Amino acid sequence: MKTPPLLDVHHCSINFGGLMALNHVSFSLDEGELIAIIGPNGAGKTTLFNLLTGVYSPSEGSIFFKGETIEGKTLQAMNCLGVARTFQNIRLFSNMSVADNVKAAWYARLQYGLGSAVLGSKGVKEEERIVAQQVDDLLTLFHLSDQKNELAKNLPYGEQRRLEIVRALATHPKLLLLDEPAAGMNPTEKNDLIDLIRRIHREYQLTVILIEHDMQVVMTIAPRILVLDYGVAIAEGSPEEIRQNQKVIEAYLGEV
Amino acid sequence: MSSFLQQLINGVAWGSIYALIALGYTMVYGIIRLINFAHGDVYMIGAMSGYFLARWLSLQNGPASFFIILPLSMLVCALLGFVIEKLAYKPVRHAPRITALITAIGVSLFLEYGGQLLFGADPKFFPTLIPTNPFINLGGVFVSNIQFLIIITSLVLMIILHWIVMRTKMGLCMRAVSFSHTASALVGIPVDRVISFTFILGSALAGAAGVLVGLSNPKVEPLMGIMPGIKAFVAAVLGGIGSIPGALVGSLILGISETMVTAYISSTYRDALAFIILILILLFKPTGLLGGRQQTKV
Amino acid sequence: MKRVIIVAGVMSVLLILDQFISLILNPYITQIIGLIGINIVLVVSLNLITGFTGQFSLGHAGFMAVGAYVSASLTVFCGDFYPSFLNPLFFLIFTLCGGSCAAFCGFLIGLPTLRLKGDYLAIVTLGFGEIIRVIILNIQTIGGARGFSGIPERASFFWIYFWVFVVLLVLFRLIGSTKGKAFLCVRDDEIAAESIGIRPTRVKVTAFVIGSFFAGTGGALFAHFNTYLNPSSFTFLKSVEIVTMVVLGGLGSLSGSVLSALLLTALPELLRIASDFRMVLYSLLLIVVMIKRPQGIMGMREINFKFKMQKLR
Repeated sequence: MKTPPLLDVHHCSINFGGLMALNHVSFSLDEGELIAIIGPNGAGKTTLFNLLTGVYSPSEGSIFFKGETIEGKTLQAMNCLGVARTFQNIRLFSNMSVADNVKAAWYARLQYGLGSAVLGSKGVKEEERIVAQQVDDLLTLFHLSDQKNELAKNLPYGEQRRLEIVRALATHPKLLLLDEPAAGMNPTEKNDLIDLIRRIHREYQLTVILIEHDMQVVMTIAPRILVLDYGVAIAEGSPEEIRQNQKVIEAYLGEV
Repeated sequence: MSSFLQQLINGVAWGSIYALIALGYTMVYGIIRLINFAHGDVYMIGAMSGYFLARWLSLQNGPASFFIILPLSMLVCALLGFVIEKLAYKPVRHAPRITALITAIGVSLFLEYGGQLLFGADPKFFPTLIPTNPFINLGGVFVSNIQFLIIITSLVLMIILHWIVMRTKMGLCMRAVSFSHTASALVGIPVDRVISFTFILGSALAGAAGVLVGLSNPKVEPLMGIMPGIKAFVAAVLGGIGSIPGALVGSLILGISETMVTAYISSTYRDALAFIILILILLFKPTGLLGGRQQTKV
Repeated sequence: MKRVIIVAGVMSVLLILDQFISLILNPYITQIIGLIGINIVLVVSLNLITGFTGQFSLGHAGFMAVGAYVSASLTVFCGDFYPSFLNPLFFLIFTLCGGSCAAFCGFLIGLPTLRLKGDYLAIVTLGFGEIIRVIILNIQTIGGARGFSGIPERASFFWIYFWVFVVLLVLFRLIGSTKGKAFLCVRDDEIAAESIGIRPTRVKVTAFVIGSFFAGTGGALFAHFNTYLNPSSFTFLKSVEIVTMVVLGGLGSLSGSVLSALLLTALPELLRIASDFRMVLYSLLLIVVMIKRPQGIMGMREINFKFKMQKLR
């Protein structure tokens, strides 16, 4: 028997006051896959992310994660199920230190309650020590340990993006959604990012969905690509197939 | 029954005063998303300046004096509103909203306690410009001439306001700025001037409310603006903040229900009523009766 | 073990000071020192709600009133049921009762209204404070509009600063722990907080409950310090006074709160400024601080002796 896909999006539609933002989009994703979603501006890519993370619910269709429907789940609940995401317009805890940004991601998995935090019992100290150690390890791994006491808002743009990814990783997700991670980066930063995503994908055995405009990034790292245009999934396939797909060329360049 | 109708009329008169104040709240909120806490105190200044103008100009009591004092007080308040915006709110316009809100509270306290220092804390008695007479008799239910004047003046002012907002170029600019400062600036709308104009307009209306309240309720003192100010805001929220007809509807509902509570339950509970209404409306229809929808963008 | 020694040490220092303070200082100064302590409790507790969790509340005086009236009624009406040497114990219990009632009110008001953002929340909490005041005005057994007099003086220096110690300890521990980072997350970005598994509503309600608990204890201290309560002490203006102190000290700085509670309580008293002039001063201070230094004295930092010099810029 075949194992069910990690994520199964089944004929999902959503409309905002008459505008069909997504129109019967279907795709599925096996564990460990890395897929990129591309498409012109306003194609519904971020909307799709919002559906997958419980920010919106689909007006039609259904989404299954690990074989179970995600109907009625909130963003918070989706994270606890193992879906982590970053945001198109970076959402860091800007007045917290880099280390605290990552540390906060342990919140939902802590054993102790606020009461024992106040009393400062032994278990709390032990757990805090472990968390701090793991935060340190993560920051070192992703070259952010020099900035760990810096406020997040004071980081350069590329590092803010990186920190957001690390924070999402720190929730130990099964599925990681990256919303335009390369936006606004220079070529060196982009290369670093490609390495970073590859490493995450490989070392953490994560399933990754990536929204990206930068074709170089997409074509380099994504074995599979889904193309959205006006809310419709117009093509799906390997970078080579997508590059030659007539519909995709039309969507990007207009009618030929 | 006739006592009920009488209360209803009292409520409408009281609601019209709220409406004049609430309009200023709703316009300012619509345009810079700020609860202008000082707005109730501008209304107090309206009443105060009415009192002092009547004394300094040594006006004869009579309807004519009312029509001199009303525009002058409105002018004083308009000026005050202009100055407040320029000195206090403009510097914090791009700061987080909590900063602007605290600034507004600061301005409000400044007007209240500055007023106490300047005018003295003791209440003043507004001159009886027009002695109260039953004016219209609707089968045993009376509308006094003062109530009539309040309702009619408010109505006229609101019609003028509506005309300004919907029919003039400035009104168009106001509506544009309320949607987006950046976009308005890009198409050449002088955003700063439009905001100043909004404050001037709103404060003038509050000034009118101050004078009108002086007619029916002659005790004026520096802290008189706190409660009506907050309640007018509640009325604006009730009707849907940012919406001009909403402010009117909300104010009438609040005015009438307050009068009814005072008449049939107890005046001590009157002050709590507005807040109970507020909490209920925010729980069940946070956008107010006539307000639009808003959604956070992710 | 180390902690027990520290706590015992603090307690004994407080007890010793308690004995000597009235001998060394004149009653007027002692009075001010007491007020400062009460204000620290109020300001620090509001800082949890507004500074650390980012929920602007204008109803702190309401929670304070609940604590004050509940504890005062307990002391006054239950005073005959226990021997007088147990007074301190029962004062502690009644203070806890007052705080708990305030916390319960915080829960009640918090649960439905915390979905509201910024200014709406401010106005609802303001309204809530007023509703509480109107309710108190209408209860004749606790004096109604006449005020509640004849409350025994129980809030000694020791008790006031015991609570100062407790509130500071609790807040330092909370904010320092990983679990407590959730408060700051909600303040900085609710959606991002949700995306890492934090329930903003729950965090906000927690902040409200803890904050109002300490507001209630602050009220209880005030009641047993002043020996007289009047609903007019708990108006919107009292809330604004507390907000002013929080903002001036720095939203999100505990040491800032302590500092500004100290300054804003002591200065006007020592300068013997009449109360209406004090309010003019407060208001101007608020406006100027908001325009020139919106982050307050301390910003979000804490006084730290290991403070690096380059951080001072």
